[in-house]
Amino acid sequence: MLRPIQDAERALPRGLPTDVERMAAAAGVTDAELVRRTVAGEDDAFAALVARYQKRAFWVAFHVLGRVEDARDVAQEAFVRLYRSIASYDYARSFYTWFYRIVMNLAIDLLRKHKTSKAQSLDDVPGGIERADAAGEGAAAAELKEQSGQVWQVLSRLDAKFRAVLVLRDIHGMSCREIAPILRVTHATVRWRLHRGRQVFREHWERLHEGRAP
Amino acid sequence: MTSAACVPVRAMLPLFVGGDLEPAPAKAVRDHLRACAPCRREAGSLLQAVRGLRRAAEADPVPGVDDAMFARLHDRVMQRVEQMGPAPRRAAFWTLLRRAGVVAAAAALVLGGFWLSGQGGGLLQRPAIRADGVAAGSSPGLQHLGHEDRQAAVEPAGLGLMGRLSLRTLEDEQVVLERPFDGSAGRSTDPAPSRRAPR
Repeated sequence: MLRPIQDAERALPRGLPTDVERMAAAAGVTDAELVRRTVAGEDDAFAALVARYQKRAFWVAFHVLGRVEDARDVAQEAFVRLYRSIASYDYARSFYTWFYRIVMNLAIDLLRKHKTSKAQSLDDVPGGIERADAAGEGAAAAELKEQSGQVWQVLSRLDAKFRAVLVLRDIHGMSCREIAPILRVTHATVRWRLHRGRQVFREHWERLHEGRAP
Repeated sequence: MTSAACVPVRAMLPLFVGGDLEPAPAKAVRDHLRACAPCRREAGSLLQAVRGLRRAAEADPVPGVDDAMFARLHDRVMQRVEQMGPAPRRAAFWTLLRRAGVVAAAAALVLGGFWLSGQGGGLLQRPAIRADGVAAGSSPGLQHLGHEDRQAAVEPAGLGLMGRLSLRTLEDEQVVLERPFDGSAGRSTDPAPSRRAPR
């Protein structure tokens, strides 16, 4: 069963041209078919591919990077790179694995660039400050929101390779077998990173809660 | 208090709490947890962290992320793609051209092989000519050749196909030069030199 975030990612954006929306929504038109039509010069086919994947690209990038602007830039650049290399697509392989690899590479590169350019403090973590104000909402929603902010704070402290695996597995619900080709590592490496990443995440998570306890 | 049995179970807990273990090891961990309180606490702590992580993305809308933003993103991508022009087809053209080149090279090799094997009972079956320029069975040697030809003959010709081809040319010229050399008989004066010396 898909989790809410995955449902939201699969929903098409509003305001698309009718032809593009119809093509993007058509279950019978596969991703490979859209690639084939794009290579044949059909612009609407590429627009349909963008419509299908832009939310997923944005959210994966956002969960790795934690900033809306960065995630938007990464998603945009990923589609441009996709278009540039679309003729080299191997039809025997999964399109989304190929595309996610482009997105993850761009996101991880940007994350590493940010980490080397400045050390982030806990208060500087974008996921924490970009969340909506909890005032005026129910206690449960406020608690969830606070917890969400804490998760982004902890994630920002993890090494990029652990963060990428945790985001893809625990937030986007992909299996280790799906993650391995996206990150171009073996299945065993994904499992090891997941194992170690969860341990490190738990350490930071507990430290954060101990620090906030009265 | 942990025991030796706890060590392998603890190593599996990070994957166990996320449902990433195979059924058999997962059952072993579950059985152990039923009987071991310290490991249960450890598993509970990990489970809490992983649940927090999994719920984080569902918490609330992110300010600035809505349908309008995605519509703008879509427009921006399509604008950039339009500026780039029909790059995909160009790439496909180069792929086709590369493949055509490979096929043409293979065909040239095959045809060349047929042509060589059909030359006078087999060019490649001839005895090799010694590197000092004296062909087997030819008495006059290369003394009648010009300076450049002598130089070429003295240099090692090699045993490969190209070496044999260049020596074959020399051999043809020997046939011509076996006639009395009067200083005026050049290569160009013989309209159709015979291809092989009579043995």
